[in-house]
Amino acid sequence: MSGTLQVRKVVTKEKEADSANTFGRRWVQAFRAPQAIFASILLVLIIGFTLSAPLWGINPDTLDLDSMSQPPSAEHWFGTDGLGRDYFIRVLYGGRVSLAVGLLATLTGTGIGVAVGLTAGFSAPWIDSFLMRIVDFFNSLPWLLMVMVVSLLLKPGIGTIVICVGGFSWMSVARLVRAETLSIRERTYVRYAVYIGQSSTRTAIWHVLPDALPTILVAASSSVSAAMMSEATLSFLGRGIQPPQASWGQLLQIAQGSLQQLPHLAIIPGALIMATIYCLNVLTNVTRQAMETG
Amino acid sequence: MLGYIGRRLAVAVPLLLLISFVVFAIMHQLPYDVIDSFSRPDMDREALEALRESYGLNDSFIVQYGRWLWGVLHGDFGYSLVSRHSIADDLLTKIPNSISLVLPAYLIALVLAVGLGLVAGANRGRATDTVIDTSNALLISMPPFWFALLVMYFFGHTLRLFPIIGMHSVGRTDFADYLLHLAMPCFVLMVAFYPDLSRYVRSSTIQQLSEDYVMVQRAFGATKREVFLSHVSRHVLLPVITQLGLALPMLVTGALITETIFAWPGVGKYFADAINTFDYPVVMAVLLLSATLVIIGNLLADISYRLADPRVRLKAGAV
Repeated sequence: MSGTLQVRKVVTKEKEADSANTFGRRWVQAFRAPQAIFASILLVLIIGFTLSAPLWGINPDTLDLDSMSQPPSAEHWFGTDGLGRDYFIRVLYGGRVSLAVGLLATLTGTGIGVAVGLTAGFSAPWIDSFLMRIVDFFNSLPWLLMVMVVSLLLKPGIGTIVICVGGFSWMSVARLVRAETLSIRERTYVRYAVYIGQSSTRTAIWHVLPDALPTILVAASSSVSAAMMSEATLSFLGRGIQPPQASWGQLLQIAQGSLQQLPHLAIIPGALIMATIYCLNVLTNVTRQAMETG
Repeated sequence: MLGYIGRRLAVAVPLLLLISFVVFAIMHQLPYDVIDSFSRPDMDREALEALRESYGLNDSFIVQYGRWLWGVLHGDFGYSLVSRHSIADDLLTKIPNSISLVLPAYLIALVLAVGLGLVAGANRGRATDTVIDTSNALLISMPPFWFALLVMYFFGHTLRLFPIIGMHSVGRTDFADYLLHLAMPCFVLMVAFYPDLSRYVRSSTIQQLSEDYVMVQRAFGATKREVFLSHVSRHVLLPVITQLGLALPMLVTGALITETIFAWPGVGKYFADAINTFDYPVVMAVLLLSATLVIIGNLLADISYRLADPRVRLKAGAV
């Protein structure tokens, strides 16, 4: 039984290698799954709408005291908030902030993680173990509590929240990159680069980093959704984006106060957070599978 | 084993010191302090300054930190600067409150996750699995605080089934009243804990089913059911036990957001309130407690992992 199974596996593998040995084909196949198509379309729609925010010609901060707290209507698609501001445009602008924080915090976290991991994997053992102790230190912090403390110190806003989220989420990338570096640096071309006298910084960046790039990209893409969730959590607790600037988490915090009268103010931004994070997770999984089967 | 535990705990002490030092330094650096959080414009400036002096807020950083550390080493967490209550006493009432919310939520989530995770893993690719797996993916993407608001609106405001905030109605301390207050926050927490656990059980079930021993058993004529009940499920469940260690810190601070929304008088809300009023002795105490639990939890997870699987080697360096 196991014999036939193995033969079948080998045959299918060869078939796959014949028909889809190009990099692109594999990706096309992976993204043809209905889930992946659905997630891509939804995500493009969400991002497209948030990017279009300035084109609508509505000021998100204009108060209209004649039409406060209105339910969704033809004039105000998502209704208005307690100060008469058009909620549709506030949600769009809030989405820009949420998505931007997700991306920037991921860039920050991945940047720190790559730098630490590369240094640890390519340096003397004592530096390596020192850096890994730092990773252990950060891993044993109760992160939500620490982030709330750190956010007290810095001025509230996008920059602070990027630092808070990125600065406490780089540890897994650092571990991954370190493990990759340790194996890549034993490859012949890396040893040759060292042998002909290239500096270790140059070797690490030009010869090791490109090979670790796929791993880094997958790790980074999965952390965008986590970063967005962290931003929403912090803003909801009042420690993130501050009014009049909006983010989806911050809109939820405001909506909490008028939940009984205006539930749609809470339902809409939360549903958008959920949809975005779901799409990002699906696409990350598809990407990871495409890379692993290849 | 005992030596290993000893070494791990020895590493933990400087770590806790470092954490407390960093947090104390941050709280000390803030441009405002606890006096600012309750002072009013009409209060006498000199009186406020005298109050600062009597709280010891004008002493140098090292003196304040030393005083705080000396107290903690003697089991004295000090007093809340806002309420003037003893923090140790406060924690003694708030920790049980938090546990009475988190523990039932976690246990229900765990039982559900194990059951549904095993079912999904055993039926991989079939309709049951698709439903369970898709719902996990959706639940993971759902912000817990948003779900809390929805539950609060639907069951609290619209249907008026449950009280919206607090742990007891005024003047009542009976169990039925507590259960009514518990229902919504507990449900929200359960939904927050469930999907990760369920995914973990499902993927380890799938992994176990692909092992050679399953094929050997099947080749010797065991039915799928027999193999599943007497071998696969055991191998899946043992590592789940090790997850309990990692959940230890959640018992106390895992419900910070839920407690804040439903005004549940637990440690999470205590901490969030203290942050908003710069009540640094409270912040320090809860952080220290939480960091200690994280470290003990990691240790428990590693030890129970070792007990569950003797092939695992324990490394002393990690914390």
